[in-house]
Amino acid sequence: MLTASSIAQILVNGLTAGAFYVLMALGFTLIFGILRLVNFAHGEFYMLGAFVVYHLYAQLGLNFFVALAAAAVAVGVVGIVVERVVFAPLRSRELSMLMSALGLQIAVQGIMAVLEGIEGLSLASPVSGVYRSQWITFPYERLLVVGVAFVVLAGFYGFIKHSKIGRALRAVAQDGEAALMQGIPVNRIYAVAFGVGSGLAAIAGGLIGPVFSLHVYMGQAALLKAFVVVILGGLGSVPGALVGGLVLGLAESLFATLFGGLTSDMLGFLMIMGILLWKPTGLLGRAEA
Amino acid sequence: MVSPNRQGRWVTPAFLVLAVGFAFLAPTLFESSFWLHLFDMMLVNALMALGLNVILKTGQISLAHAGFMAIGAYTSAQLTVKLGLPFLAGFLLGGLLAALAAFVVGRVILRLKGVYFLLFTFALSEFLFLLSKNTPALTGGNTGVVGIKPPALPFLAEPLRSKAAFYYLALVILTLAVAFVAALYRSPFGRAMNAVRESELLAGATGYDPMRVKVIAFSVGCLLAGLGGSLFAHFLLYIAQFSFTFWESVNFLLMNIVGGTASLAGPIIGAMIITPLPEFLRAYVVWQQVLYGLVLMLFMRFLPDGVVSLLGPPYRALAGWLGRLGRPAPVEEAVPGAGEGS
Repeated sequence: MLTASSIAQILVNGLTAGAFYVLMALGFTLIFGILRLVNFAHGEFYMLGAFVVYHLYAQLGLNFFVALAAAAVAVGVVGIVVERVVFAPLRSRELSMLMSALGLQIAVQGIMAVLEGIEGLSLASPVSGVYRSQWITFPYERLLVVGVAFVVLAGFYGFIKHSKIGRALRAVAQDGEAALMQGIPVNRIYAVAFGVGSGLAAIAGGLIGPVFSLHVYMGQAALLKAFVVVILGGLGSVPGALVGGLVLGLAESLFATLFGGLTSDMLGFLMIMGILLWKPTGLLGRAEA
Repeated sequence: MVSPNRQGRWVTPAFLVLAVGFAFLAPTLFESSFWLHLFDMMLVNALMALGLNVILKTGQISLAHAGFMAIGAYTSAQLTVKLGLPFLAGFLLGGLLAALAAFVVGRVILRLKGVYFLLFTFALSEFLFLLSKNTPALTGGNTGVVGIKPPALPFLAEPLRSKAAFYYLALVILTLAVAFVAALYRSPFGRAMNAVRESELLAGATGYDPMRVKVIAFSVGCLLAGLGGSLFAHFLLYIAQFSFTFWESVNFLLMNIVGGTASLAGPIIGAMIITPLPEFLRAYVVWQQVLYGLVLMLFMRFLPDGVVSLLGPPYRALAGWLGRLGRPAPVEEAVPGAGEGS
């Protein structure tokens, strides 16, 4: 039986999960939109972000937000280097790029397993306490996820919409060859897109670390979520990532309340099945991905 | 663009005769159980990589191949262990069930273009994995299925217990499969597959139903995956989930790419190269994963058309047909299978 308060609670939980999924899918969809690369290593940048935050915040005692920003920048720089070294030489060979992304995924996991070990680590949340009203309980650490996601999204929107680099990004996403002829340094834009996308994944990882435990293989589950979101919303579509992420978060939250035991991955899968039967290019996707 | 049909007319039969001839001698040249085990696995993997090659030929990249391998493996294992069916019945039913599943699922998911198909098959493989975890009655859950018997054939007195005996069974099955796929590629249907890969729109205009071609190719590819899975089960005599992970699917794709997608020799050569890789990396257990990833990246960087591209002119001519998967493509064909107008 759904009461008004349980509906409110479903919304709150769904919003938290959704905010996280949006962050995860945003970088993934950006990288696809610009590089035409299905980045299987995206989950690894998320994992790297979580570990950077863990070391800076939990071990060195830096301010959480400073650690988060540092993780975004550091992983973003790693992303730029990776793009230059691994993907730039394979430009426009989609299958080679895809396989390299898989190789990168497993190599990064392996390196991190050597460096960090494979045990799960837990991380104290930077905020504690719970907001309670007669309707909902909203743990502050979840509120933090939603808040940071909102700020990052607003920043990302401004960057894409109004900055010079943002305009170049949109131009390349629309038509790489035409952008090149307009004198846009396309190669640099590829690197920027990969860096920004990786940085976004790192923020998602740093945020989720306090909520769950972190371990070297945490990227896999997050990657699957990003996949579901981009299939829902359409690959390469930024509004699609936003809508898809929130839809998935809310649907999972609703199902968890109604049916409990059903694993959320199964739900995501069934949702994609349904959506694709109805519309083979995702909710907001274009005909050709 | 060289017409692959002309060039390939003599290459595959010649390759087959030579390869089978050499392959028959292999167990007599290598006595050690270690090598025989690897050879057996190479043949089984080659069968599954060959299946994936059929799917790739229509321009679809599937990452759910290990899932269909699992269907074949579990079907055959359970039918022979629980119901006491003979090996051949389990083997064929395992393949058929995988093909049937591919046919049913394929009708839905093959509407997806290029990258969407790829993403979906990735999700599908994860889903099948979850499903196998939650249906212990079918899969034995985490413990898997034990007590699988080695293959027994009706016209042989003894089951094929030794690695050498199994080798010849797998070799015969693989040879039949290669002959079948070669015939398929040469048939009008094979030309339809090429047409669908190059441009669905044009293929549709020439009277083929692209959807039908893709569904049949997907089913045939998964049939081979199911048969391979069944062989795999009767070779190891024990199966569990960890044999059918997403990375196994990646391995089959890697075999095709490393060997070269452009000829039938590709997936087989690829299976011969990739199968021993974990064994050779075993000395560096900690770094095994890292090395595997690096090998993968280096291959993509320096040998994108596969080993077959090193084998001289006849194969290089063949390497044209999947050029879009290995060579720089025009911008509008940025995604394999997604670019409709070219």
